[in-house]
Amino acid sequence: MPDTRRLQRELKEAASATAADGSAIKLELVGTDLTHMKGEIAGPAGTPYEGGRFVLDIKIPDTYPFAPPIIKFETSVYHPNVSSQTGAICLDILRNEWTPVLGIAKALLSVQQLLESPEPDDPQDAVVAAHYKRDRRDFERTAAAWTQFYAKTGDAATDVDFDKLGVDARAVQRLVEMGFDKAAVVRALRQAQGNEDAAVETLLSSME
Amino acid sequence: METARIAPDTPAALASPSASDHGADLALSPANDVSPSSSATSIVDPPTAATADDGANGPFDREAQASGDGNSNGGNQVTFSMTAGTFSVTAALNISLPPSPARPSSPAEATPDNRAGTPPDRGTPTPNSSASAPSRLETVRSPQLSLDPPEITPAMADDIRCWICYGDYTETPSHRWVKPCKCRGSLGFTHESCLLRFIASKGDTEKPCCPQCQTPYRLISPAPASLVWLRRADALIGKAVPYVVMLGAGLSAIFVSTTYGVYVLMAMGGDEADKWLADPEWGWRVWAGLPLIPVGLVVARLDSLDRVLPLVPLWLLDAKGITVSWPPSPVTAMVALPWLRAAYKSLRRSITEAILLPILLERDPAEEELHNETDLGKPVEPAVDAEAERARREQALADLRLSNKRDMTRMSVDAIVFPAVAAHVGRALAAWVPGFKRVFPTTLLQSLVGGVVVVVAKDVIGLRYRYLKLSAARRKRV
Repeated sequence: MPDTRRLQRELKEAASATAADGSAIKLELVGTDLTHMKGEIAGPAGTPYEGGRFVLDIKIPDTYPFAPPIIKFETSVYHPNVSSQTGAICLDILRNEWTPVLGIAKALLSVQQLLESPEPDDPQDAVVAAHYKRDRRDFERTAAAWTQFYAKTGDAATDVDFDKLGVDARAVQRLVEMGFDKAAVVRALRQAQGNEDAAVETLLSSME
Repeated sequence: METARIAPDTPAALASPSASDHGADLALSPANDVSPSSSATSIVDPPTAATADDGANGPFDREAQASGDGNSNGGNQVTFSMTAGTFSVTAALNISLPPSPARPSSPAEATPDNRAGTPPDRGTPTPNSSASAPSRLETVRSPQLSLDPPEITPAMADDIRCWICYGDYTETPSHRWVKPCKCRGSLGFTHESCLLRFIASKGDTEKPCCPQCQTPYRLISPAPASLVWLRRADALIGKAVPYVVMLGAGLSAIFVSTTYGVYVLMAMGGDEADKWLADPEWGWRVWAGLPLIPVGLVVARLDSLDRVLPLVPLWLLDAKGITVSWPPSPVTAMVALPWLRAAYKSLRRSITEAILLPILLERDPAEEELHNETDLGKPVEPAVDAEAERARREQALADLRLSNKRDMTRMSVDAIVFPAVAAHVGRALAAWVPGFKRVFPTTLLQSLVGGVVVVVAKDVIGLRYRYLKLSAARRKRV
């Protein structure tokens, strides 16, 4: 079992910190189980992630705090050190540089820091890292489009450059008109590599 | 009871009594959660039992107690010595303090509950209690590299939290707190139990050290000598196991080889060998020779041994046994065998080459045509042609020899099985061929002749096989 007292303490401290200084980082339980949490970080200002709210899935291993929490992005992020498919994060302190001194909140801060300063030489997503190295401007536009679409709520998400998400805007339009959720449409289209029929099939099968 | 203690890696921790003037060296005190009566039975050696016995409940009580003694003696020096098997820690308690009014006058006042409830009123925990709070803080800032528990003042207590379990000092002042590294401020403090768990989580591969300041942790296990010896024995056995296994495998190999050697002798030599083996007086030659029989059988197959092999029996066997007579004595037969073998091998090579080379040298009709075409219009120089022919021939010979390479496993199995086959063939010949018994009266001779027959038959069949294979390959078309 992980150290439940420490986890409770961390949760309490994170809650009071959120209450005190706005909402740079949020940490809350998913259910009643202390080993599964959700985190939320704000995209750092001055980056393509600005304005986005990124949700992270946090699993606490049995050996916590001696083993790091298992953190991955639930919100899709276009970042060299984050898998665009699974949300897995390549960050040293979440692997072998972890020490018990760090807590979950510090880990989330480090992830936020990572959004600010990508490490394309130690990539999690090779395609994204290559993009970052090849054309920084274009990378930033894509990352901003992803942020716009996935990490912002409300009207902001409607005005998105779908080309930057790697999908055809008209195809998205057509599928959305069929009654599917927009985010799901984009995900399915990306998965099907633009093939509309395949995407529809995925969407239908996921509804069952 | 605790199994290990932590101190920063510094010589001061193991220093002579004079070096430990930070205060009472309480690293040697027992775990503080034990009851007063059981504290005397902990790791502290009998000499220290006097101090450990009288109601001391925790590090600070111990200090209060110890300094209480110090007051009357005005700076006594008590040397604690702890024998820990491999480790031997000697530390000193050097107390030279004036009485402090803040200090509780009796240990009973300083129960853990009391202190937990009112931290600021806690008795000053350090022997240097004459110093004011700021100077005490300084003592802590300059890393206190010893086995001493850290000095924690009421002023600091609120800030201190264990960096592993996030437990505050004020909640658990009765736990053993340690400051094992050079980290400053509140980060340097941790529960000893948490730190031990942290070190355990790192496994044995890494040298334990502070993840922040990289100060190596020094672990001291107050293990009784018997545990140390048992641990060593355990490690030794662990190391010895593979060797014992190898030894066992070797012994069984020798056992099997000896049995096999006996079998070969009995199969080849028949009753004579039986009689000889029944002789209870086996000399070293027999003990060494029997297990070497299978080895010899395999090794003798190596072509590289052809040059030495004819001489080996002369050296191994008793030269007196060599007599020219019929039937030949076993020794003569064994000595003659390698020569026979060498002669046979060279004969076999000549025959093989005589039969197989023509197939290899035979020209394709199509190739022949091509050959003629390229030479068309050019007078063929006989010398060049002869040269080319010679090269072709050499190439073919090399091919032939290369194709004759057999793999080791097959060869070994062949060599091991051979004596049994030879013996049986010899017996069969003796039974069915009229007059055979008269010419070869002994079992050994019969077996040897059987072996010769087997070898010749095998080679004839092998040659036929290679011949057919080669000519088939020649006629292969895509």
